Amino acid sequence: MKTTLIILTLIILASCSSSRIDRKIDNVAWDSLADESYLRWGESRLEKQSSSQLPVINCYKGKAKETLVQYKKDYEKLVGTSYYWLHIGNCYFVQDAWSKAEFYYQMSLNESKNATVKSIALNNLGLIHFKHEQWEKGKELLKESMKTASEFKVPRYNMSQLYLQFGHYDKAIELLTQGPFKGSQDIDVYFSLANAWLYKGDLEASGKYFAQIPKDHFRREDIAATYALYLIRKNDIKGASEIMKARERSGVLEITAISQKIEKMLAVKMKEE
Amino acid sequence: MIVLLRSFIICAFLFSAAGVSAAKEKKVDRWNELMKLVTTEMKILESTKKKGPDLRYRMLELHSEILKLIHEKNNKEFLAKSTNGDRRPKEEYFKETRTYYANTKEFGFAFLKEYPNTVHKPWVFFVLGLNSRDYGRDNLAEEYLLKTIAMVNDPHNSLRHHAETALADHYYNEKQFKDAIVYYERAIKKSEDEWLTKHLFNLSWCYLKVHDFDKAIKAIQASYFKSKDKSYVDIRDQVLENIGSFYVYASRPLEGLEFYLKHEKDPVPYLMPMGLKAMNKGHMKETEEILSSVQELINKNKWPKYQEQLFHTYLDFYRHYNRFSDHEKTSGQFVRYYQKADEFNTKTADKKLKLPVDGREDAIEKMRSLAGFLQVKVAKDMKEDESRYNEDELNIVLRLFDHLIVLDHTKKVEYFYFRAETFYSVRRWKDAAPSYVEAILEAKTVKNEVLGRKSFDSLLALTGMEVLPKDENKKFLIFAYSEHLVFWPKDERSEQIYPKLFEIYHEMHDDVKASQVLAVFNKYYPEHLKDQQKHMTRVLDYFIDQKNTVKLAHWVNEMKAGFLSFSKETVEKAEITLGNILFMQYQDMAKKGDRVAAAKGFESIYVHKLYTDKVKYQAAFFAAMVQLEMGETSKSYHWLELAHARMTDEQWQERRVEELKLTERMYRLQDFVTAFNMTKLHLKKFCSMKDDTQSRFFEIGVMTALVEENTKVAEGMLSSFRNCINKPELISKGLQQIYVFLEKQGDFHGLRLFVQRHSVEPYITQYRYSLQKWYWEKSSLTLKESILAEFRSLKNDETSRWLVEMNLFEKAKKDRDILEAHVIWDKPVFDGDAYNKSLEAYLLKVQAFKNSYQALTQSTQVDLAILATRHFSQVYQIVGTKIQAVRPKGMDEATTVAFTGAMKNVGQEFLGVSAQFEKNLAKALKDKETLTYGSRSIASVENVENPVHSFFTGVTMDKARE
Repeated sequence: MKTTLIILTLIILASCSSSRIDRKIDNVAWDSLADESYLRWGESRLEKQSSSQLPVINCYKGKAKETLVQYKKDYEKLVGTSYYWLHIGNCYFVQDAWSKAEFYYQMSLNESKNATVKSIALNNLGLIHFKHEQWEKGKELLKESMKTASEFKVPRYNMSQLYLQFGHYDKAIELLTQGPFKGSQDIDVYFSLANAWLYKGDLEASGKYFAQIPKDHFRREDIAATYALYLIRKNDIKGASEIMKARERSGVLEITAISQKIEKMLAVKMKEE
Repeated sequence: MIVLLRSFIICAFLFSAAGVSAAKEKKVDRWNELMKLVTTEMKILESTKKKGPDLRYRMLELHSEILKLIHEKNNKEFLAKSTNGDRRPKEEYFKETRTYYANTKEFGFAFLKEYPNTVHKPWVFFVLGLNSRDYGRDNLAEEYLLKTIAMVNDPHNSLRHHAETALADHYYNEKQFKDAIVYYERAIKKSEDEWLTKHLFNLSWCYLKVHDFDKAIKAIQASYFKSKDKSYVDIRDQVLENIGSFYVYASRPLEGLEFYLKHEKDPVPYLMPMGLKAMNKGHMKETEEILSSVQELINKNKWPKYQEQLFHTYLDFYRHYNRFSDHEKTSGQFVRYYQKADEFNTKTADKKLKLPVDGREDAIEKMRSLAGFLQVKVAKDMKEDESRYNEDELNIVLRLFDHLIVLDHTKKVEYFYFRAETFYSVRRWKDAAPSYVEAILEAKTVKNEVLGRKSFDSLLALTGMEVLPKDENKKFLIFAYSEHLVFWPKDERSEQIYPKLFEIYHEMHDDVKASQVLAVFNKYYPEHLKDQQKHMTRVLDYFIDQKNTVKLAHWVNEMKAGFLSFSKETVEKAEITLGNILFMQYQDMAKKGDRVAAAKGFESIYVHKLYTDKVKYQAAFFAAMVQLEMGETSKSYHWLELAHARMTDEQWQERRVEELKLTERMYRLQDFVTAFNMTKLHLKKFCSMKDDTQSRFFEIGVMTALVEENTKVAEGMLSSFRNCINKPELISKGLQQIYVFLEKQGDFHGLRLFVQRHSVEPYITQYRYSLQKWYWEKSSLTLKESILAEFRSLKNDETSRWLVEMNLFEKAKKDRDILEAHVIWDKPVFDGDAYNKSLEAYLLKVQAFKNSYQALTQSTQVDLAILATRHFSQVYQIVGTKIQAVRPKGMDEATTVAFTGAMKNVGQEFLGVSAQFEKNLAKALKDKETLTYGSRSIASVENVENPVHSFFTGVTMDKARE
């Protein structure tokens, strides 16, 4: 019986697992990366956007397979355009086909003479390396990307995530508050800053950023988990508990494990109370 | 006389008997028998001692008999040998006759000399006279017979009658008709002579000869009428045969007609000759009437047996009077007669009932004669004055030839030819040409080379004159040339004709015929091969100009099969040209954007059975390219496979670079599987080439296999084709790529097996560090155990060291727990010494901890160093906190304050060390921006690592800000 339950759990976990967090933003006002990435565009925003100029949009609409076929057919028409290989890579990225995504990002990097395109390719390749937990390589690629096109936000943002992941909070804060991010309004930027300050131990600073995030985004599991930790630090066990209960399960195994840890902790603390 | 008569009777009997004997028994020699009889009697008589006049006379008679037999024999010899071509003079054959005649005459005169007054004397002279008349050359018959007559006074005497008759016959034979008349007139007075009819007949002839036609006719009529009397010899047949002539000579032919019609049931056999005679005498009208009567008789009595002869007579008649049109009409009727007769005779078995056709050859000859005559006349008239020839005469000639063609079909070819020549002679070119064609075709059928040549010569001359309308002229010229070649494929003129005929066909764009001409030309004149090939090339050039791919393909196939022994290079060139034309239209289509149609076009070429393998493979190749341009990688590959099946190895080799480009395109079109299949195909096929192309295929093969995440296949590629490349560094590059992939995937088992297979640097070292990283990063306990086991199995100094450190760290964790769990003082009563001892013991433990595990903070395993340092920081934190937290029981307040203060300071030392560890760690991590598991794990809140994960929260870029 126990074995069966374990197996069932594993199956459920496996089927529910995903590789990435769903971070769709419906309001463009909260998406400071909107003009560099469609990854976080919500459905309504995507629908409004015409795909005729940039067919890659269709990949984000759930039509990656068809879009890739169309890219094949339009090879001769589009191969000379700047983003052809990049966008094919992104379509594969959306499908979790990492090897193919990496291949086309690399192709874009090799074949393009355009600094902008190279920068983008480097950024995306960096992300692929992160997938494979090759942090140093990924970091180098992001650095290269930032160097090639310093005006881009996304590489800076991605680097900030890496810093957060490995505890380099000051560096993350610096990236997200200076340069192109100065004064920008963004869910993930605010969350990242709240996260950094929390892990630095500055609850006040952290709280200020959490306060700026629209409430409905606290259902996102990574935000919920971080905010729960904040509340725990603030001794608001109940609040933390509610946040965790209300969260949307991301399906990402690593985050699920973190959420489970927090829930266990909350359970103990609630008992103590 | 009686004896003589008796002898005649006996002889007659003998002859008849002999004749009966001969008739009865074919083999009996009648002559020998007779001679035997006569000579036997002669011997008997000669043996008689006393030969009186009767006997002597008898002997004279026998000599006469023998003389007759000898003459008969000599005559037979003469007739036989003269037909055999023996050209001896006639007299030589009758030498024996003459000699015996002389002997007989001598005997006779000897007899008379011996018996000068014998009663036989007139008989002797009679016999001598007959012998002289019939067998001698001494011209003494008249003398002897006159003597006989003179010796017999009685005019009614039979000897005298016979002598007069014989004399009359002699004069008749000697053409002394007047003298003959005298004696015949005497002879006919003897009415009891059974030969009266003959005498009258001969007399009629004498009258005729002296142009006393009335008497002649009277006499011959008398002969006819007397012949009806059985007392006389019936010579009606002879009369009938001749009486017609009598009337004609007498210029009274119609009376003759009347005579015949009146007195004969079937006068036809006599009327026709009479008609001819009348014709010859210039009695045209009468002749026509006679012939017409004959026709009436034939029609009325249904006597078709005479029709042939009558037609002949008519032909003669019309020809005689130059009535050519009538002649031709009769010829036509004649032809129809023969046609019906042939048909009838075929069905009739009874020979007697068959219709006569023996005169066919004569009929043919007569028609030919007239046709020839008129033909010459027409030609002559034409020569003198173009407008003067007689159209009617021409038409007669032509119709005659028509008749002859039917009648004399064995010589049809001649008549066709003559007909054509006739047209030619009157410059009716339009009629002449087809007539020559007829003649040629007939000559071909009957294999008549002579007339065939003549007809060709004439036809070629005619076409050479260019007097016909252009198209017609060409038609006939073609005919003449082509038939000439059929007749004489190897011939001086034919050798000239072949290229000329080719030119004509080529001009007409009739490649089939033009090539047939060349083929035959080549067969018979292989020495002209170069020219023949040049000609054929022109045909091909025309098709190339016209872009006639169907024709071109057909001829390319023919050339490949050996037609005109074209060189391989030439054939290939033609194939290439064909391919280019075929493909051009579809390539244009593709260029204009209609790729679907272009692909279909190329595919249709491939499936078409007309085209050669080379064209097909090119078509398939182009189809593959177009499909690829449309993004259809699988279809493209399918067509490439089809192309390969039709290629030779050489041809495929030529396409390698192109196929490499196609392969590059395939993976760029996201089809890594197909691209991989291409590489495998090439690596296998052209392994021995070992060139840059092979190397690039190799690279692509490894790359595409890895993109499809198939390391086994990628590795298989490395091992299978490592000897097929010219850049050995690609192997290590490939291995590196596989290693990197396996490491990226976190595939412990895969990586392990890989390193076992390729136990070389840098993989051996990289492998150890990968495992080390995974040991610290991955959460799976099973994996960690597997890594530890692997480290142990590697038996490497470094990994052994790592193992020691890892074990040590585990121990450190346990010892930390012990230190954390340790209670420094919990006794109810405070004892300073005891406390100090306890504290000292605890601190010694901490010291021991430090001594045992401090080295771990310097470990080359970064994660371990970080964790160990954190550990140390935590241990010192624990120790400091624990010392500061000691609150011994049973102590007064002042002592408690002092004690607490002292412990606080002691504890602070440790807390300071802990902080220092943290500070140092933080600085080290910050300075190096360390991104390891260790640094992540210590960056936690409430021991919970950061939910932020660069991959999960990272963002891909799609574009640049506009």
